[in-house]
Amino acid sequence: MQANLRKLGALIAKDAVDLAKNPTMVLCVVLPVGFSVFYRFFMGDMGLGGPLRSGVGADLEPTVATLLQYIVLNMALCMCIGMGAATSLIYGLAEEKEKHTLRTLMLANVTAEQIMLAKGIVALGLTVVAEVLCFVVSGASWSLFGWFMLCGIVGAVPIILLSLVVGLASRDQMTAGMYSVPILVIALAPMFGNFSESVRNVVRFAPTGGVDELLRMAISGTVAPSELVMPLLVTAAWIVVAAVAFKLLYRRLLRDN
Amino acid sequence: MAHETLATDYATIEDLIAAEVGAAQRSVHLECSRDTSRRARAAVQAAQGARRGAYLLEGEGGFDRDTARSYLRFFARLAGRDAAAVEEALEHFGLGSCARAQVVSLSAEQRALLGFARMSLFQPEICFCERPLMDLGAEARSLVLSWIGERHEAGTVFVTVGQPLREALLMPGRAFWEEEERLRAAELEETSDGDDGFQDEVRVCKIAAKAGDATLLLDPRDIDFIESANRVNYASVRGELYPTSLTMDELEAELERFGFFRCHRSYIVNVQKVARVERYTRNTFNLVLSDAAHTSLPLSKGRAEEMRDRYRWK
Repeated sequence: MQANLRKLGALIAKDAVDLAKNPTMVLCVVLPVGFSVFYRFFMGDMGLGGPLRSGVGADLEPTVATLLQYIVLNMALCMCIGMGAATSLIYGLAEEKEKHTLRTLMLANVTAEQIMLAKGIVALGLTVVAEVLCFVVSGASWSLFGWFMLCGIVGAVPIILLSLVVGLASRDQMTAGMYSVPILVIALAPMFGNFSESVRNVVRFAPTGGVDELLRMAISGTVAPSELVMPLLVTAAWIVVAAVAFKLLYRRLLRDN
Repeated sequence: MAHETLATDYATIEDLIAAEVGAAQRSVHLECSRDTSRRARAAVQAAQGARRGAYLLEGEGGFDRDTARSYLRFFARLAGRDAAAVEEALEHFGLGSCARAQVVSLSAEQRALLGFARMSLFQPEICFCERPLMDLGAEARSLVLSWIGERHEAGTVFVTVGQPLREALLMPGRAFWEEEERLRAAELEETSDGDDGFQDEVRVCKIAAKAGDATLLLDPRDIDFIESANRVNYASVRGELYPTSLTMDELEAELERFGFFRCHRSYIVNVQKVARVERYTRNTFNLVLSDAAHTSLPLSKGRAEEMRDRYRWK
């Protein structure tokens, strides 16, 4: 048990240092944070910054104020999960497969489960860091911080599991570029729900759709037990589907390395 | 005490690994194809059981953002070793000067040594290496062979694959070569049925060898060594191998008077070209030549005594 924890700790430390030294991975944090800053000042310039703590346009209708906070936090949530969890994992794993690093680790008395767990934990950590930074720069009300983080962490779980599978399926970074597109699209899907109600009715069933609905309810203050059922079911279903896909495929995909 | 009769022929690589590595726990070194190398690795993994294993494969990459030291520290943590073990490994494999260098900037030789340093951290009981001496110069080869010798004496079972038979014979344990998927022990490789060989009428002091359609007549003084591999005997001249149809016995008889010595069943060395004799275990001797590649040749234990006596080396 102690040996397993020691190996897991070593893998997590190595992956974390690797992430910090890899410009592509740093971009996965910088991009959502940059977009959050951009959204905040973009709306400030339109005189809509009141709800985002700029003091301008403080007399906005409550529904508009709610909508503005939702737009910024919805974007931040989806980008953090899409970039922090999906892109970093898929590209990171593809690089390791391409250079046979995973094979070297597997032959160094490390189990596939330890490697996958370490990667998942580090990706989740990266997502959390990106989410905290995004929230800080977004200017949204601090009363929403808990909800935002909860939704961000739970919503990242199915995307991380799916990204592990896709990353392992990638032969190299070139194929990772192609394979990561669908994962990025389903992670970002709730952002497109802002365009129309009918689109929203579709994307609410995406892996991040459930937590996005929860976030919307939290921002508008309409969290009710009966309303929670569907978003929680959608999220739970995606976690189960992603976990089953991961369980069925990861060993075979690692063996191909 | 009766001598154990060793198997000299295996139908498949899996049979060989199961018998030699699994049951008898003997080190084996194979001259074989890449496909057989892959199968050997799988068979070693299956035979490893609860033993601590370490693997060094051809084409290992990655860890580009690590330095040699941080790379080894990571593997030391996996192996449950401390930082002192890392420094020891860096020192042992002559990597102290490049400890701070990025792994990606290391030369092929340094990268190979780093792989051996990594393996040493695991204090392996079973060790699998693909082409272990491929990228190594004379000095690095000596470091690696001495580590292999030490670990072998300590009970580690080594399986090396893919290298030329000459390199396989340099390491402690048994050497095998592949012929039509069968694995044959190298100690029985010698053939002495020279009746159908090319009979050179000009006998004096030239060795006939083939180079394409031409027959070269090599001056014995130019020959570094004679090697027998895959049932063909080759004369090595300035790094090139020329096949000759003379048998090893004929070559030995012919060349003895020019200062050649049969150092192994499969090798005859030009003693004038021997720069030093290395000893890594009680039973493992190598001759390092003064040619451009500092070629190492195996020296059988019994012949080491004879060589010492003949040339009065004390």
